[in-house]
Amino acid sequence: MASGNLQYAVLGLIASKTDGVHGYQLKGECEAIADEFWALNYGRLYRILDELEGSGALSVADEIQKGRPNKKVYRITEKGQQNLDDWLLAPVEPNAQPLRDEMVLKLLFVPADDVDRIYEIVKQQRSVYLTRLARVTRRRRRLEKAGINMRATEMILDGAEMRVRADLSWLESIERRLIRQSSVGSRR
Amino acid sequence: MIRFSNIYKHFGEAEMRVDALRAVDLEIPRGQMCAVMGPSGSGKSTLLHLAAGLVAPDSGHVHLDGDNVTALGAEDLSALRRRKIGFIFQFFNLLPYLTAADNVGLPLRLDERDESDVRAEVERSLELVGMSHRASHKASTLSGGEMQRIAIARALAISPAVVLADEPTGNLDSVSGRQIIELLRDLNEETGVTTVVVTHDPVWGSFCDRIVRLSDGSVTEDIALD
Repeated sequence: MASGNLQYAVLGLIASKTDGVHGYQLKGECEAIADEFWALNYGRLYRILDELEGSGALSVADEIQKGRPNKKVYRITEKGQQNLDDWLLAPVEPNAQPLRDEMVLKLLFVPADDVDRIYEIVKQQRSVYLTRLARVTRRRRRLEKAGINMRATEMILDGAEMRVRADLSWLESIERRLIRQSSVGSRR
Repeated sequence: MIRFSNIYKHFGEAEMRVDALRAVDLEIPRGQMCAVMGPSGSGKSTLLHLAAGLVAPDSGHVHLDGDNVTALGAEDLSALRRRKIGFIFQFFNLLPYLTAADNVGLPLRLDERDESDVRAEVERSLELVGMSHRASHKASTLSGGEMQRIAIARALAISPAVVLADEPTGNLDSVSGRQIIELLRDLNEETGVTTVVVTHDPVWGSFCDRIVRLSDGSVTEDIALD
């Protein structure tokens, strides 16, 4: 996830907590939402919190605790809420797909007549996509079994599933092209 | 457990000859749910038919739950299918004029099981697939998704060692299809029955532990999804 988006994700989470949220609680929330889709490094989370505070999007209050260090409680400010609203309404730029771009590069540079090598690339890539699809399916099943009704997560999973489907169809179209190109279909 | 050892199988002769399977070596361990995928005509269904002893290989051996399927005579093969294999078809293959319960009980009655036994197994199987409330409905009055649930109950009624499903969602809309594949996965997890599913759809494949891809009759990809 791009660093700008990550800022909004953190801001969005804090905005949903009207009573404010502690740093450690925020870590848990990030984990629950992100799971395997978004590996967040906690040093980075605290850097983002500092940045958001510096820009006036968050306010921080110290909560005094007996016999223990004070806890920091983060709340969204009016300015932060305005930033979040602006972001929610802004159109989304198409996401870069690094994996697919790398596939494109490989296809550009593998010799066009090296059909075996292209098949090998397609096979490896299919394994990557199917493994990703299985992760999406498992996550969906886990949520369903736990009886968790998260509309946003469902929509995100639908999107992830459709994208992998498209990637897999793309590989199949590459294969069909190869079959048309090579006179003998049994070179695999 | 199902094991295919160096399987060759062709259909037709001379210019009509099709090599359906070539040098297939594949082992599906007990309890695994395995998807078989690949383009049309790649040999997926032939593989299932071989496992069920519905066709014999030109050479090679098929082992299923300790039986050498290839070596069995017609009578033993028939008994193997009645007692160990639950087969699920794309077009359900229910008898339309029988009730759901009688369709589910059919393989047990063909195996001449006690009537009290049959009733108990039918009840258990219908409950497993969530179809107890449709027990007395004629098969012809059920929706596609319900018919496939009944077909799954029929497959499970014999407490099979393996479930073989040939495009079980191929004749269903995507919502019913998802429910059917989810049901097969749930049943595999709950009962530990070895399950092989032939499918075109990668999403249905992604419910399995493993995806084997066939191409031109050979296993070209074998992907563990854990």
